[in-house]
Amino acid sequence: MSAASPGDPLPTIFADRDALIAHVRTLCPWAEGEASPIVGGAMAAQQRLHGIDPLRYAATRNFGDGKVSRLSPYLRHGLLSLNAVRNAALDHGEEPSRVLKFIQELAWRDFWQRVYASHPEWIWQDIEPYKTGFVADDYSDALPQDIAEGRTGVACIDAFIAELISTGYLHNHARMYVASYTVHARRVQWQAGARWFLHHLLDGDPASNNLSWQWVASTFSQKPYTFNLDNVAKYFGGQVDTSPTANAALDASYETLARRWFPNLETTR
Amino acid sequence: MNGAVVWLHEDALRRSHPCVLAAGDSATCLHLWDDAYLQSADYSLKRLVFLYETVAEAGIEVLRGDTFLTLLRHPASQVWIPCSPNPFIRTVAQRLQAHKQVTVVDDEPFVHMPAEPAPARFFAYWRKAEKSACLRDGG
Repeated sequence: MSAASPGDPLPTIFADRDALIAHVRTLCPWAEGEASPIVGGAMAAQQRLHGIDPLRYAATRNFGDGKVSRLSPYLRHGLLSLNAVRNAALDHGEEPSRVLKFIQELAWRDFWQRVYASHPEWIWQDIEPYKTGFVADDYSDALPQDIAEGRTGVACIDAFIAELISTGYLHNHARMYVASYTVHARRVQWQAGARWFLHHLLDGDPASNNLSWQWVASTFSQKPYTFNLDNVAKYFGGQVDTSPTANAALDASYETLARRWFPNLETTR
Repeated sequence: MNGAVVWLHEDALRRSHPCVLAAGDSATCLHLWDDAYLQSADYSLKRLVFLYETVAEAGIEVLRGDTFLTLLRHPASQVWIPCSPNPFIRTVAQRLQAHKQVTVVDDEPFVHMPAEPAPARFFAYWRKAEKSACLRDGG
């Protein structure tokens, strides 16, 4: 490129998706992994938008096979506006109250974006101290390799990580499980996990992603988010292996796990 | 006066964004493929392909180069930029203002309420936002 050039034009017409992927590989030889089966573009976004089921969202959203919209990659990159998705949700219900939970989930994104604009420094620094009986220095600042590669030995967690790596998408409830396991069971700083998610997620957004990790970690909430195998079995039993033998690290009551993960807290002694 | 460009950055990859409409029919929509920025963002191939196929399908002109320098050297005298909280995008917009006529345009609102300061907890925000959030176009 000459000094006066405004930039090198890149092609936008390809024979097929494979040709486009090969072109991106050439542009970015440093980028690892494979392309996601989730396709970008306005047509894919509109197809997803037409497929939403906001009336059944509230009752099913926590389940692995629930009626979640999977619109997040398209919202993240502005292919759809929150306003357009809200209006589409209202088209499904005679009363806004019937789609309230769906609208509230959109509002979370609006909230995170407002926090980001108001406090950009909150994206990478602890907003509040951990409420786990530990201080930040007690946590590892590096993501363990077995977590990065989905080889923790906890079957459900490894299955979620495999999906994250191969598709760049993960159900929100599964994100919370993986984040909680990483921060609390393995005592890793939330920043290491947030950076890892931003690398893989198609919808990875510094605001929604990092502030959610802080919420799980308890640096942006009143208490740490925890879960156990019973909870995973209830919501994802049909999607991942939730047998006790393959998930021994999580096969305990909430009280037992709290004593194991937060031994310094008065409430767990 | 050499015309206008709309910088459709990674937070605003659609031609129906209010920024494109405000810039007018004669404005050129651009996406900047900035290797240094993408590498610093540490995006995997999954995300890079998603971004590229999005701009390719939309027929948005893609220029490869440093974002600020590419916009600075572009012959257009006006640069329209969709609003974003991303500090990188905000910094580019601020630096360009010394050289070009820069206009930052908000996306269509989800709720009608003051932009700042954001409450520190979601439900403090929700108490103020709920009524507008449940209305078409925010009421």
